[in-house]
Amino acid sequence: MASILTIDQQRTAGSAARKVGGYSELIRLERERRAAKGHGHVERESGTGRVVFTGKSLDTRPE
Amino acid sequence: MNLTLGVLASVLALLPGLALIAAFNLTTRRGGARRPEMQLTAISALVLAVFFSTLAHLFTYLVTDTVLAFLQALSIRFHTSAGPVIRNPLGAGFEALGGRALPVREGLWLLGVLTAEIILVANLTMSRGFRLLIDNIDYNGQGWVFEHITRPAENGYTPVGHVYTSTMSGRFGIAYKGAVTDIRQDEKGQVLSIALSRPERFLYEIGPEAGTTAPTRRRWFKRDRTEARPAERDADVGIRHHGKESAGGVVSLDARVINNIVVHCIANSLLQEIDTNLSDPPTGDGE
Repeated sequence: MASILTIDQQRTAGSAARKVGGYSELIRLERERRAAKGHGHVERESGTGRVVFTGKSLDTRPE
Repeated sequence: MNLTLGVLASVLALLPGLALIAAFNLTTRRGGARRPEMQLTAISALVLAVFFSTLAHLFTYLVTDTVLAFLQALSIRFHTSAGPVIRNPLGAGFEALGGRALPVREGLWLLGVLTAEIILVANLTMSRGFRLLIDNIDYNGQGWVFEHITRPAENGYTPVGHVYTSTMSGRFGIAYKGAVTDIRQDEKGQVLSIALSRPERFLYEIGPEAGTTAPTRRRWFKRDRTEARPAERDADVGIRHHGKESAGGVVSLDARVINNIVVHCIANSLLQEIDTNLSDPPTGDGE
């Protein structure tokens, strides 16, 4: 038997979840990333402190 | 040939096939769930070993023969000699299995050829192309675990699981959310246990929201006509999450306490980007 994730992957996932405010936020960001077809980057909104995925694509379909 | 030598000779003859199975087991080590390692005692392993050994030997025999013939032609053409002409090492090796003496020179070349075969087979098995070839085969019957946990984890995604436990008090229960580090199944595919790393622990609530009460039953002749319609009553019924806290470390949950498992997959590139580019949150929320 072996682990599915390496120690480094576990650490990265845990650290990312802590930085964005939880795994639910990570799942939301992943949904936003898929909507933007992976083009874009994450950034923290200065006002609310919330992390959002800012897409670069011209895709204007409603989510 | 006695038994011990016979076994040794068989292993040597099947070496490329055995190397393929060993490399395959190494490659799929991270399959998770129930280990899909191919047992060497399995009959399928024996068949595979014989088949791929035959292929590897055939290919190597042809290549070696061509190279030897080319070198001999060169030697004749330029009237030079690099020592006595040797037989094809693989041919000489198989003749030796039949009892014919194997000269040291050809024995050494045989070792070299077998080593080259093993390196070739191991490289092919551990190559990206071979992984792509077997990527969509659920050869161990893991079912949904293969599609939603094992395969995404092998292809650059981190599975994040919500596990709702059966540890409940009234309408409230304990649930965990974290990266799926390990999941084990029995032979029939039933989940035995799941482990989440760096989990968050939270309470979940089932039923009407705390503070509101379910409508009491009234006799039909006393029923208030302004009472909420069923659709409106349903609005405050469902599952709500409360009181999230970071538990840290790893939580391992046994099948006896698992009610539900929900899995989402998050791209490793996104996690890496967040981990590298973002700083810690300015306030302590979420902890």
